[in-house]
Amino acid sequence: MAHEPVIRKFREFKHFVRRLRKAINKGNSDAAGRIRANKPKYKLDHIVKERYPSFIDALRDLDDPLSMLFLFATFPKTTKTHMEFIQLARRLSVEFLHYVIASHSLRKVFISIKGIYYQAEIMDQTINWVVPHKLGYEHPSDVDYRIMQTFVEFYTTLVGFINYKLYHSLNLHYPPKLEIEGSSIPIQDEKSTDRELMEERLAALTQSLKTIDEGGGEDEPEIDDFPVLNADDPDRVEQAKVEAEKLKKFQNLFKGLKFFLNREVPREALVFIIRSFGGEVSWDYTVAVGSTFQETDESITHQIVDRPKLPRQYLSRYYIQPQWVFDCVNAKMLLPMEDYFPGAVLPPHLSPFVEEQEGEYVPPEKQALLNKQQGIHVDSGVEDDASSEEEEDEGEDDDGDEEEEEELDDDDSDEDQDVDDDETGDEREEEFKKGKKRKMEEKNKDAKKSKKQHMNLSVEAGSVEEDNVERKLQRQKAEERRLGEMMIPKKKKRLYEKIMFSKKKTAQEARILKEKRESIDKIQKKEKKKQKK
Amino acid sequence: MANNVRKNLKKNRISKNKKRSWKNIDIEDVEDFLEGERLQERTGGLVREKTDKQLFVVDKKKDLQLVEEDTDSSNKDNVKRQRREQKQLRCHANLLPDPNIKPARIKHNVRIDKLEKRPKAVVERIQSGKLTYTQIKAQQQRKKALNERKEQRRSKRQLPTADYDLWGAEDTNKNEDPHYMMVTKKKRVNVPKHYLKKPSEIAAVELPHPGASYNPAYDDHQELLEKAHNVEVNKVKEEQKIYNAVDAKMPKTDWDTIEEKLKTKVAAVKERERDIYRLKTIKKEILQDEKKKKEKALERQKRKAVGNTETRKLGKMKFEEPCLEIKLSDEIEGSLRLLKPEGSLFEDRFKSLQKRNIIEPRLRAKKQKHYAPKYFEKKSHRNVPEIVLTRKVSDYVFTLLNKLFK
Repeated sequence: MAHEPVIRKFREFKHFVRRLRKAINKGNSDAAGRIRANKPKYKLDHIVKERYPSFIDALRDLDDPLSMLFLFATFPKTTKTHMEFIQLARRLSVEFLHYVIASHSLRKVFISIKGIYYQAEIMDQTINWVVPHKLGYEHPSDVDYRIMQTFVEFYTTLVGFINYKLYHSLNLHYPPKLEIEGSSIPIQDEKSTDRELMEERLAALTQSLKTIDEGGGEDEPEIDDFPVLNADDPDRVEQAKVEAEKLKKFQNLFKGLKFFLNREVPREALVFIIRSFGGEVSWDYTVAVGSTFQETDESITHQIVDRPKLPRQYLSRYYIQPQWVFDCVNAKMLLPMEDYFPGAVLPPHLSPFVEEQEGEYVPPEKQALLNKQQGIHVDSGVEDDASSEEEEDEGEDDDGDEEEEEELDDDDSDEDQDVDDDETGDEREEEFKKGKKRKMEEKNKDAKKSKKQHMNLSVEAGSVEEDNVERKLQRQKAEERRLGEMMIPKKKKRLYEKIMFSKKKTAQEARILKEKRESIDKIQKKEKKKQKK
Repeated sequence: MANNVRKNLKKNRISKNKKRSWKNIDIEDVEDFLEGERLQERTGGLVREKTDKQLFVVDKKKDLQLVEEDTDSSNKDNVKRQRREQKQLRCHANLLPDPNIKPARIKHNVRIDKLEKRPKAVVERIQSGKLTYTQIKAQQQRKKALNERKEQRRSKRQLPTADYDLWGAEDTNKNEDPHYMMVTKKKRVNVPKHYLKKPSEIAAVELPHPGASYNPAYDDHQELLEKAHNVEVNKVKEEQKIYNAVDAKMPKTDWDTIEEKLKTKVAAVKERERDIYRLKTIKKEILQDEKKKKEKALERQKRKAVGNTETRKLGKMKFEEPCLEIKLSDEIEGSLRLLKPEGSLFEDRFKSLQKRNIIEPRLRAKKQKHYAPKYFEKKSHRNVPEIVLTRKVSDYVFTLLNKLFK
C-alpha cells in the first residue's frame, strides 16, 4: 500500500484541507478562494486497471457499482450529500441505460417492494442491478455516508471506462449524442441551462443515440455470430441457431408498438424497458422533457394507465396496467391483455429469477405461464377466467369429452402436436392483433372440431413433417443420460442413488402439493357455481 | 480692522532701519488688497477692467412677490414651491463651486475632437458602425479566450471522466527489465498474493425472494412470511439460551449453596483420584477427540475449497444480517401506484459491503450528551432581581423604549 502513488495525492489533499480551513478561520476570503481554485485532483484509473486487468473482469463485477450509482443518482441535494458525485452518478447511469437500450441486452425485470431489479446480459456476462423506487428519500441513520462515497468515487471511474468501451463496441459516440439535429452543437459552447436541458433530454431515454459512422447497421454482426463451439455436431449448431432466433424475437418484443404513458406510472423504468425491447414511448409534454408524440396520436397502440377509471378513451388503442409490460418481458412473449385492463385485479407478479428444478413443485399460475411460453395449449384447472366458466356452462359434457380426446390424440402422435402448436401460435398472434380472447377460443374450438371430423375420415390430407429440433435434442439427452447411468462405478453408485432418492422425495412432495391445490381449486369452483345459481 | 491697526501702531513703535525689524511692519492692508484682486482674477477677471455691460444685466424676470400677488390662489402652491426651490441654505451654497471659476486647463483634461482630424473615409466608416477586419478578429479572440477560461474553470471543478480506452492499449513495457521498471516507478512493487483476491464470493446484488414482489403469488408470500417469522423465533431462542446460560445459573449468595459447592469440589477431587484406574478409557476418549478435530479441519478445508462465502469477523463487532423486508398480507396493494417501498436500498448496499468482507461492521459513535449547565444561587447574590434578561425580554424592552422615544 505504501507504494501506491495515490497516497501522495491523499497527503496533498490533507494539506489542502488544512490550508483552506486556516484561511477560512482567519476570515481571509481571497486566500480561501485561491486555495479552493487549486484543489488537488487525483485519478483512480490505474487502480481500476490493476483491479480489473481485462475488460471482462470489470464487466463481471458490475453489479455493485451499478446498484450504487443508480442509488446515488436518486439522492437529493442536502448538506450531507455531495452534489458533484450525485450528478456524475446520474449521468453515468443514464449512459448505461442508453447502452442497454441500444444493444437490446435487457433480459429480466422484477418489481419488488424494495426496488426494481433488472438483469441484463452484456457480452455473455449476466449483470443484475437494483434501482430504487422514485419516492421520497430518507437518509438512514446507521449508514456512514463518507464510506459509501469513497466507494462511489471508485465506481464512477470504473463505470465511466466501462461505458466508454461499451459505447465504442457499438460504434456510438461516447459522451453520448442524440440522433436529432439539435444535439449536434458541441456542449462546451452552450450555456449551462442548455446543457442541463440536453442532459434531461438524454435522460428521457426516448431518442436513440448517434453512431460514429452513419449507415452501418450495428446490430447485424452481433446477432449473426452465435457461438459455434462444436461445429462438427450438427444438432448443436441447429440448437444454437434456434436459440439465436428466439433471442432475436425476444429482443424485438415490442417492435412496432407505440406506448403512451399516463402521468401516474413510473416513467423511467417503463421507458427503459419498452425502448430496450424495440417499442416507442412517449408521455404528456407537461410531465417531463423528451416526449415525442402526444396522446392524440392515432397510431398509439397501448396506453399505460394505473388508475381505475378514465375520463375518455380512444377506441384505437388498448388501455393496460404497467404490470403487463413487466410480465411480458419475463414471459418473453406478449401476454393476453384482458387480465391487465384498468381496474382489473392483476395476476401475481412472479419473480423471473426463480427457476424450478426438475421434479420440484411449480405453482399452477406459473405452470400456465410456462405452457403459454412453450406454445402448449392445455386447459388446466387454474384458468379461473369468466370465459372458461361460461364455456363450461354452455356445454359441459360435450366440451369435456372433446378435450380429453384431444389430449389423448396429442399423446399418440408427436407430429400432430407440432402442427397443433404452430396453429395455436399463429392464432395467438392474431389474437394480439384483435385482442379478444373469447373469439380466439371459439376459433380454436372450430379448428378442433374440423380436425376431429378429419380424424373420423379414413383419408387425411398430408402435412409437412417438421422436425422439432428441441424435442430431438431432449430425446438425445435422455438417451445419453441413461447410458451414463449404466457407466457409473460401484463406488459412486450409492451416492448417485442417494441423490436420486432425494429427487424422488421432492417429486413426491410436489405431487402432494399439487393435489392439494387441485382439490382447493375444485372446492372454490363449486362454491362459485353455487353462488351463481 | 483699521482700529486694530492703529492699536498696534500705538503699541509697537520700532525703528525700521534694520532689516531684522522689517518683519514687524504691518502690511496687512496691502495683502488684503492683493488677495482681493487674486480672488477677482480667479472668478472671472478684474472688476475694474470690465465694462459696464459685462458687469450688469437687465433683470427681465418677474419679481416673485409681485407674481404672488397677481396670481389667484390655485397657482399659489406652485409659486411657493418655486420659491422653496430657489432658497438654499448658506452652508450648502458655500460648498458649491463658484460658477465663475473655470477649471484649470490641464493637458489630459483637454479634449480634442479626434474625429475632425482624421481622414474622411475613416470617419465615414466609424459613423456607419462597421467593424474592421482586425476588430472582428480581436472580438472573436476575446470571446474564445473567455470561453476557454470558463471551460478551464469548469473542468477544474468537474470530476475526471473517461476519455480513453483503459483496456485498449497493450502494455508496451512488458519486456523491460523488471528492476528498472520498479525503480523508475513504472511498475508497482510486487504485491502480496491476497491483494487482488476477492474478499468474498457472495453475490453483490442478492436476488430477491419471489415473495418480495409488489404483487406476490400467495404461496411465495407465505413462504417469505414464514422465513421472517423464523428469524424472529430464532432471535428469541438465542436470547433464551443466553439467559439460561448466565442469568438462570447465577447463584444466589446463600451459605447453603456455598457449602454445596465445597462438597462438589471435594467430590471432583475424589473422582480425579478414581481416574487413575480408568486410564485406558481416557486414552480412547482422547483418540476420539482427535478424530473429531481432524474431521472438523477437513470440513473447514472443504469449505475453503468451495469458495469463501462466509462473512468473517473483521472488527470488534459481528456482522448482523439486516431485517427481512416484508409486507403483511393486508398491506399488499396489488397496484404499482399505491406501492409503498419497504426498507432502504442505501442500507442494503452498506450491509452488503459488510457481508462481503469489504468493510467491517461498526457501531456508530454516539454523540456525547452535553448536559445543560446548572446554576446555583450564591448567598451573596440573593438580591439580584428575579427577572433574568433573556434575549426575548431584552428585545421586548428595546422595542418599548423605541416606541416611547419616537
